[in-house]
Amino acid sequence: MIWTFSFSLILSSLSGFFSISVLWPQGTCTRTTVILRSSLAVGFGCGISSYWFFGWLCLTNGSWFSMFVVSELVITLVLGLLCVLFRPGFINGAGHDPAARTAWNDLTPSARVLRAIFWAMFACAVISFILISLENPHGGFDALGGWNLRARFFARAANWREAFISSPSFAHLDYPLLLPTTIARLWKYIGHEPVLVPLVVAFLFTFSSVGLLYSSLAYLRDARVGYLGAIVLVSTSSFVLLGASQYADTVFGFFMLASIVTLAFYDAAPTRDNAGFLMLTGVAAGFSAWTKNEGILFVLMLMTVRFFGQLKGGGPKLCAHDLTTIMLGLAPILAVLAYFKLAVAPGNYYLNNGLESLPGPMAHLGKAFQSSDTIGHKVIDISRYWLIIKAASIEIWRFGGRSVGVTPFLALYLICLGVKKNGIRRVETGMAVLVLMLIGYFFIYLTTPLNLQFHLTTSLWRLLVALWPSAAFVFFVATGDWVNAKKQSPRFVDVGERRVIG
Amino acid sequence: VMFALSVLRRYAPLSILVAFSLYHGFALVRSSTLGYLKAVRPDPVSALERRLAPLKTGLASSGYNTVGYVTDIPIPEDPSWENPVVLSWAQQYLRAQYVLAPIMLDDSPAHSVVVAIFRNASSREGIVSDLGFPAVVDYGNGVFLLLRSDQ
Repeated sequence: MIWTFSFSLILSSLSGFFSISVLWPQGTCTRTTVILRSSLAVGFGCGISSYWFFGWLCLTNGSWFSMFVVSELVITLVLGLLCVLFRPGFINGAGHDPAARTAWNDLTPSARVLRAIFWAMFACAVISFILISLENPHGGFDALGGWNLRARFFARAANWREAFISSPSFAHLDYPLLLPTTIARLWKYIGHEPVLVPLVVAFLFTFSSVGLLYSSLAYLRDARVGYLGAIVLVSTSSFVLLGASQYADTVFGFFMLASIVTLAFYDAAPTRDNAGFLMLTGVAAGFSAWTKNEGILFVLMLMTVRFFGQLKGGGPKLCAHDLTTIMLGLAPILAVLAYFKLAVAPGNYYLNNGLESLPGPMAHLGKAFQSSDTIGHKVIDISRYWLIIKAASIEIWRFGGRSVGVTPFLALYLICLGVKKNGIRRVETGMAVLVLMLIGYFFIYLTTPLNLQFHLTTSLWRLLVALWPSAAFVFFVATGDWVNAKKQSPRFVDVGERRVIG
Repeated sequence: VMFALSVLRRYAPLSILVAFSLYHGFALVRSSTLGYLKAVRPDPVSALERRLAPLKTGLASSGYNTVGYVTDIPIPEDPSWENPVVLSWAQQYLRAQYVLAPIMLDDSPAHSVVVAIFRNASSREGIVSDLGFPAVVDYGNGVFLLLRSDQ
């Protein structure tokens, strides 16, 4: 079992790594970005294989699995070949930055201390993840009733479509399928359904987010900042808990981070042929929408912010270039998502006026979870605004801690060290998207057909945890540093006015 | 003094942030270890999988795609999401569906075959006679398969 499992995981990760390397701009596709590309590869690989697995289900109804395996092998080999042909030295090359190899390994004493602390915290998080998983190997409530249940249907049902559509027991039939199809694909490879599979998938996404945060900060800023960001993320108990509960929010958080990181790389890179970063942004944003409905909101916000930001800052030509390139990565995934939403899944409970519109127990229990007010009443009900603001304030204040969370300490860090103008320019899109996501969530809560208190209690913390890796990235790129600027060794040099690329 | 203040301004927030992270990192290990040591074994889902294993085998050979579901966990007339009974009902239903997938559980006795999962096996008499199922297969541990007379 372990060999087949490892083979299927390595296959998807390799396809992710090769596809990222092909799109990664030539100059920075070197050894210095291997950790970064490897962290991205796990998620992108799962996304690609999930996308292809869903296509295979639609085309063959789950038959001829051996042909699916062959097709995956061919896809991986073709991507590998493209890498060798178009990105020579994509693993070991030093690229355009001759100092990069030395600087990467030449850590200052403070960076060494932070590295030691990071590894201690990383070990703590891994131990905690394993213990929580052993306590609850099938995952938390939503994993059991949603993501892993769907995966079982995909892996077991003779006719997945019929089972999927007519199931009276699914709470949210319209939820996107990246996580269930990823798990079902691995189960199909193995031939049975060990609990190890969803657990390992959750582990990979949780700790790839840490790797991605560290490596992106280390590359854009400095290894010290990378370690600090990773320490703060990995010691956030709710982040580890959510990952170990096998919820899709961790996966969604990973793809949001990947989108914002690649966009920041694009905005920071001095090379003129860096459009590959934008395509990767599009792919990552697409996978976030293929993971959770919140990802659709993320895509909308990302495109809107980019449109207005580039229109104002760079003019219509740059705006059109950016949006078109993002769409090249995004469109194929959105097409499959649209097919799923329009042709396979029934309507969403939010749009169909509540849980009573659903079949099964959620309709039965609809009275328990639902609000009977109309949207008009909800919008003019001041008490709902107050309830949401109060719940969000408490959650943000306590985030990552017990009575006091990490937020006040980050505020202190920001007050003492200030902001970096260059840093803000690199992540201004990400920052605006995160703020708009919070505003979007606010209005979803305001008009939710569910009982508001129930909805806030059961979902707000998860939404914040999903935003947390991206928020940490934006924060540590934008804030000042505790070391003198002359001691830093930034990988990217600011190039002043950006120009239309290509 | 200015130099000391400058150093303090630069390193104090960093040190506080790292100390906060260290504390919560170790606290997480502590709480997860305690949780693991106190956890019921096997976990509730694995326990239900074992409990439903004979039923699952029986259903797999019967060829049914959808079956009904009844339980002795009562749903209050006016259920509130804060009521633990409602949560308990939902947990058992979803766990049973998770275990029996791809057979679909419909939360209704209006089927020719109905799965009954009782916390208390003595609930059987009252519920089964109320629902009017003449044939009952007992799989033990409070798990029954209720069949209509024409089956």
